[in-house]
Amino acid sequence: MLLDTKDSIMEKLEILSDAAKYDVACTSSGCERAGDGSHMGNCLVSGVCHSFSADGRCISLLKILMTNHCIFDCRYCQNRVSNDVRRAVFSPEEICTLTMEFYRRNYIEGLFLSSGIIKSPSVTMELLYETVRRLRVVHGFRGYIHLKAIPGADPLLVGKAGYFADRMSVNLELPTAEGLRTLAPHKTRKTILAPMRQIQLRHNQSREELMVYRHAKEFVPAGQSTQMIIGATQETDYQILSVAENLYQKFDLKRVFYSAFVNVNEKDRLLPVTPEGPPLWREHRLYQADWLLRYYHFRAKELLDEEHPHFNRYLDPKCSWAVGHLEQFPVEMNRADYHMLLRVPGIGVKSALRIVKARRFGSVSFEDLKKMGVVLKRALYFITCNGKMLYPTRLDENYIVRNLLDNERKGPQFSGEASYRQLSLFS
Amino acid sequence: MYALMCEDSINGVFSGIYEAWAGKYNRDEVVLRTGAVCNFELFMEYRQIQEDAEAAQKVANTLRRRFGEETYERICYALWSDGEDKADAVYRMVRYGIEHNCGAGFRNHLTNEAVRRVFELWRAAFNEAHHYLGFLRFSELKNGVLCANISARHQVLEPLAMHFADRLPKENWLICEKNRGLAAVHPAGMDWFLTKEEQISTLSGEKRSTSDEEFASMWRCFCNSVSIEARENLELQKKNFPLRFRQEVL
Repeated sequence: MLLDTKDSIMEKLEILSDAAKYDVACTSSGCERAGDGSHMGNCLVSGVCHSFSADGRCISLLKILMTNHCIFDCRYCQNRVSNDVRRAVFSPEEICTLTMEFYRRNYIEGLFLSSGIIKSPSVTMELLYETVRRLRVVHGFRGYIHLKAIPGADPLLVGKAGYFADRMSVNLELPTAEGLRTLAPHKTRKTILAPMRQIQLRHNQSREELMVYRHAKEFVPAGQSTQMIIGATQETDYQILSVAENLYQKFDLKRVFYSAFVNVNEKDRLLPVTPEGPPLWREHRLYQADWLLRYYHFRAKELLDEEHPHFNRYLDPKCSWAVGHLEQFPVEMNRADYHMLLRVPGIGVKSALRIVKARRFGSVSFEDLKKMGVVLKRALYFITCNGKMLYPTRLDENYIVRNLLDNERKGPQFSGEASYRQLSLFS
Repeated sequence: MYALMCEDSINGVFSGIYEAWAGKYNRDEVVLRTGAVCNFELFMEYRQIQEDAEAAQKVANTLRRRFGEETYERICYALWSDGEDKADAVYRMVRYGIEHNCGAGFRNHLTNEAVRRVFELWRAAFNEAHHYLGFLRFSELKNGVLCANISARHQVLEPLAMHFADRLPKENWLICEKNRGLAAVHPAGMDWFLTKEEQISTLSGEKRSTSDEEFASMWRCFCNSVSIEARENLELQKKNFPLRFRQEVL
């Protein structure tokens, strides 16, 4: 394979950042590390966004591929071996220089390093390992590093690399094994899940070691993540969400990212045609549901089931759940427990915590709720303060749905006492 | 009624709180103000309070001891905000906390008007400071110094300087705050300090180094190529990255 070493660093950056743009993860959160007084860099647990690209996504890490040469032929990927695209390779030193100089100017929070498969998975993983090792040891970089683990690479290399990275990820690519077989013939479920399990076990072990020895080295302190392509194969939202839930429970993943399928190889017969553009609203609903799983104590089967395997396009998952379970509402703000508060549409984790803490000092009113950040235009159908609702509303599914949808379009409208409903004759 | 006119700094307001608490006034009849008076009120007696480092230190120690570090930090951020009523809100919150013998948790008592106002001010200043952690850009000057310009609504220079002193300990850097004419200066390997912007104009007036322009154009190239055309959404970009932050960003 011919390596284009003569390209300028600028051209390489253009090619290899363009090649990396379909990797979703750009988070720099989950790891707190103070500076050491002599080397460059620290990490904040909240993460920091440094810019936002024209698609509205955050740029917080220098997201690049080591190379876009690839021996694999995944049908959805623009870097597949059968595509004729410009190829380039970064040397480890070039990546280190770029990272250090960008970081110094506060352009970025750290490095996101992935790669196409050059020669073999192990050779690629070794190159990635060498880059992060050099960045940490030679350049003394203490900022954030997100490293891809290459499926099928020698576990020894993955194990070594994890001590230099803050987060590692292995892409699940497609939610089901059949999808993987058709669209990514060189990858299998087994080669993807094996490094995932390895990272999980080593991460847990390292946390135990840290409890005993304060100076034990941390393995992937910010945990691991993965990503799935949405809409390239025929899975339902329920299947996708169940896969995500399984990953959170069985593999202790920090994040599952969803990537709306963008067809970059339009001539491929096996890929769906997307004349309306990528399924962005579907991706959005999946992220909303994902948050409900991780922070709001929901289960996948509460949100969707076999009979209703898809999300409602017009109502967000939490509202859909709430209007389907009106027997649990209205919720009294001064008495309901934290878990029930979390289930009310319009109340998020922060405002639920604020409510719980504030009512230790006295009862809360609607005015207080508004100031605390509760979105009353959604919450008002589901809550009472000291036994009273904000407006005279009905606990009726059609009525609430109609008002919630009207809200989205033109703001709240209340008809007071009198209201009108469609009368069904002869029923 | 007495209006104690404090200087617009943490020490200034803390000196005012010390004065209000010192027994010279009926505590119900005191309000604290910062900045210049633009509309004089009838039946209000205006008293100028000089900044007194020792008195401010005593107030700070008391707040830390009684309410803990987190509440103290919240009060500091509130005083860094641009709220006109910030001094009085902090005074009323502190008064409430001390008179009701509250512990650290009383910063969560959001149904109390003063506590809530301090919470709102804290949130505004903290959020802007957090935005600037990412949106601030250093450019390297010919003398090797890293220089950044910001024009912030709130006084965010202190939290920014603390962050970057931890992050870039071995670099010479300075952050100029255009709206207030202040600058934070960090000589390599030493502590940072605040100064007037005009005093460092010889340092910050240098031209950018040639390598800096190369890296800046590489960064622009990266930002363009990392965006997915099929998902372009300028509205979302504007929402996440408000235009007012973009003036000093590449």
